[in-house]
Amino acid sequence: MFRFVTFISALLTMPACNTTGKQEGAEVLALKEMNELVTVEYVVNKIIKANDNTTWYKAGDRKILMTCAATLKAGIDFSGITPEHISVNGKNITLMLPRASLFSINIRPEDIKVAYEEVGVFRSGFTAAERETLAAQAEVQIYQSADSLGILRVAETNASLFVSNFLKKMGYSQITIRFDEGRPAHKLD
Amino acid sequence: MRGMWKYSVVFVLAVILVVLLLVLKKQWMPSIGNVFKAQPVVIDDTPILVREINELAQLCTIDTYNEVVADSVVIVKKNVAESLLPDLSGFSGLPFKGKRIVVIGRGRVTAGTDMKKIRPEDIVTQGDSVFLRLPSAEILDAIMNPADVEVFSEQGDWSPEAVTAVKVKARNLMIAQALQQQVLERANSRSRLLLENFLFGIGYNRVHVETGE
Repeated sequence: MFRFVTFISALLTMPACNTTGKQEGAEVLALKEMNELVTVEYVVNKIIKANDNTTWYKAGDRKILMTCAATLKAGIDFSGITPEHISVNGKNITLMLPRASLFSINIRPEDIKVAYEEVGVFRSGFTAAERETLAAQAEVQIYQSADSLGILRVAETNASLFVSNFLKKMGYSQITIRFDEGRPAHKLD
Repeated sequence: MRGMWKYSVVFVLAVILVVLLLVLKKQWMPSIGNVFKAQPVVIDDTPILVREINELAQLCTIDTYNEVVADSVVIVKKNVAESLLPDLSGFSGLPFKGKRIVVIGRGRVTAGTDMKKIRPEDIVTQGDSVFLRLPSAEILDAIMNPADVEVFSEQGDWSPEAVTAVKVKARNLMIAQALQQQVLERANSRSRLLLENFLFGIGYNRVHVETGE
């Protein structure tokens, strides 16, 4: 009887423990106005391979193999465009656009999957926090390799095409798009 | 003979002093704490494979940054064998056992206008006047990357799928909070303003930009 009463009272108090962070209607930490035109999206795959065998006093190894997909977005930051970058002469227009930048890397939680895990007899499996640390390392590697994927070049080509088509619909017949070589592309935060 | 012994002692003490200085100042040798410190697990540098390249035209106008907490609790009744065994999970003495995970997620939600959805009939020009109808703003991205996620508390064994569900819950909470801040309305008015300025800038004198339903 005592066990039954304990069980029921514990169940009744459990919702009080199930806190889900901020209350409804809580404000966001920061809100920023921006002016970015995303013109290309790359979806990339990466294998996350790690072997935990370097700590000398831990008996036995642990190995893990995970897969992850990341979405990289790049485009043009329009906030730097001023009237000096636009030149109109009748139906002719020349537009100087800033260089393309990498805007975001998105690794969705559902795109990280554990493919294989091998744990020695004397070791415990990888915890969620450890798996998260490994995925964070993969995120850094993807960011460092972004330039070599050619995403910025494709972003500039697409931006040029989009702006040209848009201006054509606006009635311009001779459209020239240039990229500002002097201004460096801004880096991802 | 006695003098020789004296010099040897001084010499040995000087050597010990020099070694100690090198160890402490130059950190030539690892400290005891470092010897027993677990080495971090480092992933291999594997290649990145491009799976898809998509052409987009998304005008991102509002970015919100937020921090949310999501958790999950699982409680199950103990079987007979488990009731007899000692329980260290915090439910000791009770007829049930449980596990819990708490995740702190930081991320950003981006809202804006998908310019690819502009149809030819949405643009009307006549002389120096232009009318443009923009598609409604939408959430274009909700980013909560692994580096932005902190597993604050993890009690019991959690499968990768269960942890993913908690992280998705955190991301959805972040989106819900951004929507409560009227990000879509703000993105709509910001897109209108930006396009109006752009159209004035390229030579139109009368500009009307509206956002669709």
